[in-house]
Amino acid sequence: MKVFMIASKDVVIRFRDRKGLMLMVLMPLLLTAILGAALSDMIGGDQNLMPKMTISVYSEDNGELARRLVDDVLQSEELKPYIKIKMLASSKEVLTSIENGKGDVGIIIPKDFSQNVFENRATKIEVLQDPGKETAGQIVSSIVTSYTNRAAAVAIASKEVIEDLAMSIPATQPSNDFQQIIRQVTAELQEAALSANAKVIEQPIGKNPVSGMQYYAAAMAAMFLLFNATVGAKSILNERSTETLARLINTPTSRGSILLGKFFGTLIYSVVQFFIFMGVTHFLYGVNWGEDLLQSILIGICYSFAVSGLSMAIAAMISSETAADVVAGIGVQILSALGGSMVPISMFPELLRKIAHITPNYWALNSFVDIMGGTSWQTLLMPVSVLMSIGLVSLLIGTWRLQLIRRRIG
Amino acid sequence: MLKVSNLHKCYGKREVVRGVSFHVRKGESFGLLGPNGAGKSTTISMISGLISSDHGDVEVGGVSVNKNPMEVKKKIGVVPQDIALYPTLTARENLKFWGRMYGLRGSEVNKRTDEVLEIVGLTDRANEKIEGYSGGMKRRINIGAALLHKPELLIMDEPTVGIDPQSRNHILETVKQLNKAGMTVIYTSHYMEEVEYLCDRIAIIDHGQVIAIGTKNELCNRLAGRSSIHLSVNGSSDELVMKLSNLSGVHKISKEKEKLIIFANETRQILGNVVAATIAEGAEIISIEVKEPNLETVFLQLTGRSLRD
Repeated sequence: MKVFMIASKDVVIRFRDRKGLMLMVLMPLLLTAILGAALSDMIGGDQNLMPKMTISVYSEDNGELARRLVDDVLQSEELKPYIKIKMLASSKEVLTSIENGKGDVGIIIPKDFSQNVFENRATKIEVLQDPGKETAGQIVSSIVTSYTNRAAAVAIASKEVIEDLAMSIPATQPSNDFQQIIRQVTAELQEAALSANAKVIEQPIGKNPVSGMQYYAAAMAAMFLLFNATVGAKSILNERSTETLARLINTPTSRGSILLGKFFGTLIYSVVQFFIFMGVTHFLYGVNWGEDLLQSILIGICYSFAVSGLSMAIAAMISSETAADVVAGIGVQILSALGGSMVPISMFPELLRKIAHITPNYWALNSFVDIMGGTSWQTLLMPVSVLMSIGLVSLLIGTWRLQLIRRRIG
Repeated sequence: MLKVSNLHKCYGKREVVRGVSFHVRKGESFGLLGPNGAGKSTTISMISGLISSDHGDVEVGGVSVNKNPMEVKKKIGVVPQDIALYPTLTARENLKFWGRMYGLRGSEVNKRTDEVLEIVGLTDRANEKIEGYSGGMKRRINIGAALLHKPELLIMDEPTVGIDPQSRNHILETVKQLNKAGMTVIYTSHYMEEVEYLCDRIAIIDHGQVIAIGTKNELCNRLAGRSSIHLSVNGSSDELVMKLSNLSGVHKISKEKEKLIIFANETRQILGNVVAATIAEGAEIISIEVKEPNLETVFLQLTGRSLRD
């Protein structure tokens, strides 16, 4: 009971802080509007994260797999609105087209590509990227890799089936029957490999397109909820310096209740802030937070739990409100940039994309975007676990290390 | 009501409280007098259970703070030295919050909040935020927050620091009234006139130890000379101090820069001799004053320094 009295007192105090309220509620709304409108092209236009592109293709292979990659995959019904294919006569022409900007991405299919895949020999399609259009390059690279892997898998499966058949068919059986069976199995497996079910782009872009406004609403939610880690820490440090924490200890209230009260104060404020932000961006900017709103709410709560835990750990590690301001000013900005709140993480180099995994806002932002695009509850298991673990570990560190009273000799 | 037994507290290698012991009777007003850094705040922090002692124990109403701190905290109200309130909450909101922290619920919180606002004289300003209050008004609410649960023992740690005389008088009167109504009070201060006015018994603390304890009269009677001559001179020398010490009836001399304090039984009778001796030593007398014994002079004689040092 006392836990919630302390928490609700903190929430009231924070909502009375006009300056803080401007920073935590109005600022993200403003930034969402500016960034969502200004940078929507950078993340694929206002309607979709999938950028429009021209792919320059040179194929040295006349085989079935090469033909199908270009005609059936890259020019499939789903991708045709975004991808324009330009067939060129040499690899040099492909390189030139990328250099002079006529093509966004280049594909060079090597000689005997199809044959090598069927016979499980090493082969590789070369994808050329314009350094300024990394997103397009990564998408094409991902499509080509997935297609090649699937084709190779089918080829291996065909071979295994044929070998198995060869062993099991009696020698007395006419050989033309055997040839017919091989042709039939291969055709079926190829069909499976190249069927509509084998689309490799289905997961990365989700079922629904995610607009720039949607992306930046999620990005700003992730960034500004993160500020609660320092706001919560500052609240504890302020109470320590003004001796209200000491006064709380003088009341018949346990240390655990006081700490949990401070934790829940930050948690409740973060969740309320998220709901306000979600509601306003939805009604004011038309942001769709996903088909299943409960998924976004779950991630919002888990993320709030993580930042509230971090607030306890930060308060335990730093000694002054000034230091908390430095953490807020520099630390949150760095984490936000690293976690993709400034520019989409897909534009980062590989190393930074890996490092981003250590930031809680990365998990929140990624999940929000996934939910907006349409995702399953199962996909959210990982981010929920990561965020809850961050919150729990930080809370434990905070409760273990936090000093509630300042030492005054006198 | 309160029994403090052999309290010790170290911060690192520095022992800030060294074997403090005293007791306070029910309904008594007890003063802890000492200069800044003497160990008063650390002692009351241990009494209230804010910090634990390295050695010794405190019993409030027969309950040990070491064994049952929560039960002790229910019996005590602590007024901290700082304004430990939430500035953006109103006085009423602050009092209600602290009342709930002391376990008050429902209509009882509202009733006690109104009563306390009446006691501290701020009913008409109850719905204003603390940040808009004057220093004195904040101090009054700071006291009020410790009264909500009707504590058996009220501990006040320098509650009048940095406020105007009017608010100070109001606070002193409030404490006097609470004590008259039966509340046991421990009052710490380095303002001896407050302690003299409020307290039945006084403990003088210095360097973490109780160096004297008793009523004001008992303490004053302990003075080697009942009254003292305060002599300000230009050109005081060791020879002058020696000459004055040898005068008949002089018990002790304390020297503070150019000021000499002469403790003697019959100060008025030896005044002429003091003046004559000073002039004879070639020192110029700036002022001379005879003071009756008070806690300041008791402290001075016991420690050799002033309370405000």
